[in-house]
Amino acid sequence: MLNSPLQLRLWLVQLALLMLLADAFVLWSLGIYAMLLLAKLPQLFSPQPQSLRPVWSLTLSNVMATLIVTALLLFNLSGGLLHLMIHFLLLAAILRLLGFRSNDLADFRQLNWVHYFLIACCFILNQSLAMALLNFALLLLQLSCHYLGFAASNSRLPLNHALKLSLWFVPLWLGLFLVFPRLSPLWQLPISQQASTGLGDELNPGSIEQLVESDELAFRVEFNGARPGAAELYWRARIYDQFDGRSWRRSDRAEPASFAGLRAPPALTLSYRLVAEPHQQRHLFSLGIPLQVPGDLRLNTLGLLSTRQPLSQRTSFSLTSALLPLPAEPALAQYLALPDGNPQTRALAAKLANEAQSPQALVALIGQHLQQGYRYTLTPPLLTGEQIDQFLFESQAGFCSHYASASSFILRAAGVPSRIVGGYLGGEWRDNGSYLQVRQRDAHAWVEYLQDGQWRRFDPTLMVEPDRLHSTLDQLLSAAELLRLQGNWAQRMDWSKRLLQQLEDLDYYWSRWVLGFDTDRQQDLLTTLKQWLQQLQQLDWRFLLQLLLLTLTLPLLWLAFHRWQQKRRQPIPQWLQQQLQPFARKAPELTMQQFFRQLAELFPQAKAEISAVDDSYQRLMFAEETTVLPQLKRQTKQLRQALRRPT
Amino acid sequence: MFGLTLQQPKRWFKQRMWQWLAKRQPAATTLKLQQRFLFVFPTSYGFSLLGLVLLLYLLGTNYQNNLILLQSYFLVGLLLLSIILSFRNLSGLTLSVTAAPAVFQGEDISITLQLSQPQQRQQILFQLGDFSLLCPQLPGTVLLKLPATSRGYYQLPRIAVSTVHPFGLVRCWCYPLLQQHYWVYPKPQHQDNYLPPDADAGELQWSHLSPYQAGDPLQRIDWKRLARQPQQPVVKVFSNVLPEQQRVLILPPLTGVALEIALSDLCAQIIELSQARQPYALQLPKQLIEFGTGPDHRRRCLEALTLC
Repeated sequence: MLNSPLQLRLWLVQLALLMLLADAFVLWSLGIYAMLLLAKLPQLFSPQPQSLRPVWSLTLSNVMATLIVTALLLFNLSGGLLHLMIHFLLLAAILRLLGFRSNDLADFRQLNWVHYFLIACCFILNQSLAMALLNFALLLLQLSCHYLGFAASNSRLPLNHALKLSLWFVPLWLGLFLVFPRLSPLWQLPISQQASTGLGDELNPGSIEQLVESDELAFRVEFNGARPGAAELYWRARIYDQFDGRSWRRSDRAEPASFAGLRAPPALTLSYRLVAEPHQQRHLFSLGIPLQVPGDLRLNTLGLLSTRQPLSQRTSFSLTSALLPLPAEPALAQYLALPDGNPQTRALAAKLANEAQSPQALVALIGQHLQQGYRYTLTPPLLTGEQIDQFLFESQAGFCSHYASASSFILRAAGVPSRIVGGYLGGEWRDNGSYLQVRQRDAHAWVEYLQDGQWRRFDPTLMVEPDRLHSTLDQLLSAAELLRLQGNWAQRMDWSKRLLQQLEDLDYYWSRWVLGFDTDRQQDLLTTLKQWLQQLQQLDWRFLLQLLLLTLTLPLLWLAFHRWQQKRRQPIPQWLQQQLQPFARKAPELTMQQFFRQLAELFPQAKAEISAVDDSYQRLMFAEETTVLPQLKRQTKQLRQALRRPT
Repeated sequence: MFGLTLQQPKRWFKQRMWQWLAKRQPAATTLKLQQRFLFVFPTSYGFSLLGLVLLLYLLGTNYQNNLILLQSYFLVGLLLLSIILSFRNLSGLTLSVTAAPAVFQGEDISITLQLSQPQQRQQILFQLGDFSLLCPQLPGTVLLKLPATSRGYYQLPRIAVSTVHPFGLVRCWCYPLLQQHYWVYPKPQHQDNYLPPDADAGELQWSHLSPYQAGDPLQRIDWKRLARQPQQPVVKVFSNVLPEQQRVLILPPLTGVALEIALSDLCAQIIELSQARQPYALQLPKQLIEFGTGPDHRRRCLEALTLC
């Protein structure tokens, strides 16, 4: 029943819910909810008996609810519908618990229902392995509340029983998950709105440096078949084509496109599965030209992939890409537009353009120019005024965005259409190369220029720091710069680093097999099962017979073991009666002593043995001398022999 | 067409159900609850949880979120599990009923239900008419009460035994019918103009002890002796000092309320006479019970009265 320990359990569930759903809250609402939870504590630990404890009246609850809901509607509209719903439901649950009367089962039923729903909402916000495990633990805690609410008031959780039940509950549960038909999304639901991460709409000198400081995961990829070389791992995410003298922006002019008709040689085709972390933006990551894309993704003429809604949870996609240069779109004027200024750079561009015969040659000249005295650093000096001029002719130190920006400027000034691509370069091969892990640290910017109607890639950073391609950033930076990146203490220690890596691997396979389980995989699984069954049909009858025997023997063995155990645990009086049953049956109203007396009358020849058994029995049962037990067993055996003797 | 009006489909349905049950489970002295007699159906809360399952399935589908789908299947599993657990909570329970004592109209009949429980069972609800009893842990016997509203000889009605343990999602229940009859005697009540026959006869005096016979009033048991000799209960016998009178109780041929009043009156007289151990005879319109004393005679007279 709904006693105090149960209420404490429910309170703990709500506390855990508030913590797990904290992402959906803003600071002030989190504070208010925490206060409401605290208000329950005096009720829980009040010394008064259950029925006398003061609970919140309905009026008080309603007034609080009205106030908080009004505040939420006024100040939290930016949070989105999903967050608002979570706020409402948790508020209702907390207020219901505050006004909980111990005899009201209807209240408990509703609370239980809402808790189950809120736990499901936690799964929208948190999907990593650790969080999901926490969530499932919370689900079990809620289940225990559910059980206790319908059990007798002083009952405990039957944990042994529950463990036995879980032996077939878990296969049933997972079987349902694996086999039950899955649907594609029926309609759009409000999504969780949080600050976006990753590459933004604007590329400033410095924006990539900020990204690189983050150790966060961006996405992970598993390739079917051959792994591409390091020089091909340019993950395209965004294209910046408008320059205002300071920062590069992306124009929104990209039309939807399809490259499915493109003929690509198999050697240049890659198929891979990408598990993207939620970054609250629409853009995705791909190599080269995406050929086959899932139906819920959009592909544009820039060769970029995007989702219909900002990515708010870890999602996986199957993609196929061709490692070919992208065909140019018809309108190219925007790729030549430049703001006024930067005269020195323009002069350099004119000079290089005179020397070069083709865009490709021009790019090579730019590369040569960059190899003279330029420095690759995470902490370049601040640029003011004519930024490109200042960078190329004064500071000569910068990060990838500086080089990309300057190269693109020179190309445009020399009359070659060009643009900046933002994305990620490389990544870290994990678990013996089974998958590639790309972090924000791998963020990169490079240039695409037009030649022969095709967009060619040019990475100016490689001219300055050729090792960038084959080594991680950590290996390239100076010790001071490295220290700046490694804010995380856990990464400095070797053992904890290894542990972290293993946990990351685990988390990846969790995403791949559990979060990424979809209709295709289900089909695969069913096909495999079918093949198995077919193979089974072709099998030898002898093998089948063995299998059948085995499946029959195992339960029989188990049953025998069960019987044996039961027998062992049988109470002494029952055991004794069973032993003597062939000779005389004890009437239920008789005591054992009376029964022995009756037995002695029936079998006078066994009087001595009967009194011996009687004596041991009395000592065992009433004096609790457990050491007598073997003696009793022996005497009982003798008694049975004596009873069999003829008179 | 079926001898029914449209307002009565519910009653008609119930009637059919009882008929069906009578065929399926006729009265038995001991009844082991088996699959044959047990019904299982989700409760309204079970349906609301099913609604939640559908909601979560839609949510999981639309967010393409496997973890929500997992939770949805978890709750499906819970529903399926509840079916089996609630069934197991009742299945195998063996019911029998000890002889129900005869009562007078207006009293409550106590029916003692004997239960044998091979396993642990919890939260079982027994219902008999308006009386209901929830047993958190199942005891060996359950005492049910049934109001005796009108005189007669009755078969014990069907008891409703149900449980929603462990999650309140699924109800398992049955309507066991146990072979047991009980008597409801007329209400003992003297007529207004009644004068006790022995009003001035003086007090009853203790005469001797005699072995207990079934039907002897419990307050006359010699409790002290009973403590010493539990196997041989004795009762104190009182005898009237006045010479014994032989009385013939006559029921005139009446009907309706007048009959009931006369029956009540005769009933009261029989009780008094048998307590005083005076012989009496009963003359009914269609039956004559000769002079006699003792519990058997009393019982015979009361039963004859009841069936008038």
